[in-house]
Amino acid sequence: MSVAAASVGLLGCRVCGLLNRVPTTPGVRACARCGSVLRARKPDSIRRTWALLIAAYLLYLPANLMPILETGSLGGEESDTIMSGVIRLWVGGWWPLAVVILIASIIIPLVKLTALAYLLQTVRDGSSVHRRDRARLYRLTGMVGKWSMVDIYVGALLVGLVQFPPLATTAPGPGAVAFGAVVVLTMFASQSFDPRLLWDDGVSGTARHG
Amino acid sequence: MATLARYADTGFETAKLLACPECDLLLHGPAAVATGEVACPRCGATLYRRFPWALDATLALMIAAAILFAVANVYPIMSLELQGRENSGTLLGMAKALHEEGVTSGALLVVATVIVMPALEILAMLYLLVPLRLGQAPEGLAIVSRALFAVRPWVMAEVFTLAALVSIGRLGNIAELELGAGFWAIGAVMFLFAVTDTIFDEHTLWECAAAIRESGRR
Repeated sequence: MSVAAASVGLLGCRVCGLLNRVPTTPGVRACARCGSVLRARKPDSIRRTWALLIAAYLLYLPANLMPILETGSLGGEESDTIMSGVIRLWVGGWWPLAVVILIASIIIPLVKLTALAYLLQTVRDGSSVHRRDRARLYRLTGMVGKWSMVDIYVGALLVGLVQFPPLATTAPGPGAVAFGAVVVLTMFASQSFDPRLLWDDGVSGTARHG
Repeated sequence: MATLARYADTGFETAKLLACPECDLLLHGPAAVATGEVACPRCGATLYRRFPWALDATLALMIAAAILFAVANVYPIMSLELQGRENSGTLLGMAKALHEEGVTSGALLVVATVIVMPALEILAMLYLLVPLRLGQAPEGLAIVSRALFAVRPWVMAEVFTLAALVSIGRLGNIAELELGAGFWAIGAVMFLFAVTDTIFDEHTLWECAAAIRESGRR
């Protein structure tokens, strides 16, 4: 039989793991062992996650449409968006790297944006099917998110190294800031989503308090 | 429910009870006291990792990480040569370049995720692990482990290593590229963090501290 700890007045500490017994009276509780704030469910999880997610959606467009890197050489100036950078690597014969950037910079953010929206929607609908798969999907969004930073670091390395005016220069483009913001916002969105909501229902679950 | 009621009546042995952090399933009995890496039977999340030798191994890994991380910060990641001119890039230098190009937010993001957060993680771990290994409960265990919990998701040494590999591809076409000591050092730090993640979790700290306090009382 599965029982939600919160439904029997027990709250697990997310930092040290201690299971705390909490009184039913309202108020903020701290873990008896490490002092972290105890919450049955992350506060306002759904609304906060949506807010962060929508901000990320809005920035996703400039992040992909505006150049993230501008390169200059004797032949003139060129600017690269994320996608044209991928194509440039592919054409240059570095196709494994092109695949890495395609996955890290384009596919991972898309998967995260879609997956979190889907998870939020199923929680709102009170869906009770495919819970284990959805829990797995959530874990995946948590694990892959940071890999999107690859392009930011590549840009930073290039800007730091390729400074040979007038032969070759690089500068970050306006899309880089938007892209960095998308990565950080989706990481925060993933952290503010409470996966325990996926398992709550009327029978053994808890009211969505806390 | 009968089992739970019994726990409630006899006073909780909280060490033998556990809530899954990702689905809040209440677990008791063997699932809560086993060793190894234990996953939640319902949602599959990792509940905890408990290895008797985790403290020693993690301390060794973190000492190595501290040394290599220092190397990674001091020596260039890579250097580029074009027609007799050479540019070399360190971790801090690359953030500085972003700042100078007007992308200060990007520079701060790089400094935070590649320099500050990993440094904090290593320092916090050493601060806690060294006294524990010497048989003392560290001062401020609660606040430091909470800080560690907040910092850990933002440590991106492994992502940076991948980015350095990708850069080899992009830069190799432009000019003569030479990898520096910093490249190998940050790659090694990534490896050490990855191993640490498979054997260590915060529960270990609290169990060690509890055992020390227990033996001190006797």
